[in-house]
Amino acid sequence: MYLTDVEKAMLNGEQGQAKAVAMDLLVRYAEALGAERMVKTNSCAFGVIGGQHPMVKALHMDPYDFDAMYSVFSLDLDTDKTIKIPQLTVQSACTLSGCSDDYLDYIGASADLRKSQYEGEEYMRKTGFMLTQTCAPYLCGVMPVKGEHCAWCESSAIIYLNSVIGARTNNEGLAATGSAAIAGRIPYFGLHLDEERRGTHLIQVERQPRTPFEWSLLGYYAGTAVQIGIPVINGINETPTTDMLKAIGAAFATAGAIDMFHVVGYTPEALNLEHAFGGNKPVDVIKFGEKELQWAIDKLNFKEDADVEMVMLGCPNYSISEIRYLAKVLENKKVKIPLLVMTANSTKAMSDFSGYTKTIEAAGGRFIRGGCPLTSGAPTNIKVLAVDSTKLAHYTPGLTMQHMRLGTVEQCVNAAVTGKWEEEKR
Amino acid sequence: MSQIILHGRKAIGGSAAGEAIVSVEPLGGFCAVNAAEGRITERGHELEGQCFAGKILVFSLAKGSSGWSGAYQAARQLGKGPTGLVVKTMNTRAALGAVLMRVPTMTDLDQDPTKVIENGDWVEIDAENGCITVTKQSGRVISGAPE
Repeated sequence: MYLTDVEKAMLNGEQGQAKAVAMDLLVRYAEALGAERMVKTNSCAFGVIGGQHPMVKALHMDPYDFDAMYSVFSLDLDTDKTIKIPQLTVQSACTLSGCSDDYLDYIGASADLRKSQYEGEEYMRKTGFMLTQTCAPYLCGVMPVKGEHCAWCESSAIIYLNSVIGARTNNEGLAATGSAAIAGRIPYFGLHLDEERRGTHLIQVERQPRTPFEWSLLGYYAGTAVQIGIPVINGINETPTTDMLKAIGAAFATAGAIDMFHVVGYTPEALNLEHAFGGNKPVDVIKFGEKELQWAIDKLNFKEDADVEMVMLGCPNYSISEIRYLAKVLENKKVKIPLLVMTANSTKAMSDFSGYTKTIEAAGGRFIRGGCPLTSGAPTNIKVLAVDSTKLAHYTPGLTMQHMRLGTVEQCVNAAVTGKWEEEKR
Repeated sequence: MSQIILHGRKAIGGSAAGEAIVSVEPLGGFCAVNAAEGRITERGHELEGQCFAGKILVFSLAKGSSGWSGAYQAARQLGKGPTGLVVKTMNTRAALGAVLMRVPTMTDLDQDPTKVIENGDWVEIDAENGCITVTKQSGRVISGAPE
């Protein structure tokens, strides 16, 4: 593959050991992809695994040797020896780092676990991360511009970036973003190229999705049908909200290997149908109606469980408008099982200031900032979880063997109040 | 036993041989794998409950979270990774996963490997020469496959 003189110098170690290791990984990665060159990037986003991660124990590592953890799997340069991690020059948003203070409180964490979490965060501050601590950093100010080349992790953020903002990133794993954060390069491949961003499948909407939840059902159904490609959603007759586009993106990326979609008339690279397909002929036309919407609900619900033990909202992390809506639904109610609301530090601050936190906490709801129990170790004593996220409903059983109930915010709140799941009245 | 040769592109160099485990369906990583056992755990997946440790993992497509590569890297670090990969359609998840599994990997093949190769077939990867030799265990004749 072609490398510039600067890239060759990095690879040869002229700019230090960390850049050499990072560049070596990026070159091997580019060759596996079949990429012909690198592109510069100044926007990385990824989650960093802290000392409490099970791999630390499994690999018999020192949970306070952050350079070692970062080298082997945290920042993931995939080396077998410890590299001194330099200050990151690239703007790098940390999407999560182990678990948050709220979650440590919630599970009654040991002093050891807290120490490991706090020291990990301190190490990240020194290394130069932006500690956004959310899977949706675009909701709290990390906003690349249209056309900007990025190297992001986190499938729901990647698809939002490509589809809604029009910035460019592939679905990067931790090792690729970790290396990009040090070397400022990423393989020029896939969604970095104009011709790879054109639509491939036509999704013809005959039943308007009306809420973020229904948009996520559209994404889960169409994503399952498409599996790989760039779906073009046609027939939407009202401007979708940020929350709707966030929800459908997460669902697409969960159901298939889908890192971009278009909504004709609404997203930046889909002014009209011709623009969205850019000369491509749709490989398939998929209809979305009432039956297809119900299919997604049925697929993800464990119908045998009427008793719910916990409600989890905020996958992807709740925005301020979703918190506002939840506060309205929870007003003058009281939950009898735990109801957790996952959101970013900065969104929670806005919620506090706006008065939503007071309403939600008065009803017995609890905020979990800076991460999510799915990645920080889900509660193991809970058998049935209720969620409003197709992503959470899809992944949680594979991780924790828990049973899921999936429905609207109203159904989830009702379950939190009564402890029972009720089917939606249609 | 019949043999089939596939030709394609080297993604990661080297050679490897082993028993095939084949995912015709797209393959998940994050929350879909038990790394310590080298086992697929995704609910309803055709390989749910099956082990890939020490085998040649053949799959159509890597799907799901960007945590895909990390899940298989963890399996390698715990000694439960596959010994080689055959990928029908390469993407960033599979390419980075292959780098982190550190095993010979082939892609862009002249036939669909998930159709030609079945569970239990003996697969020899020679990535440097861009070819894969499949020794059928079932005795099934694949129509259209070269001798």
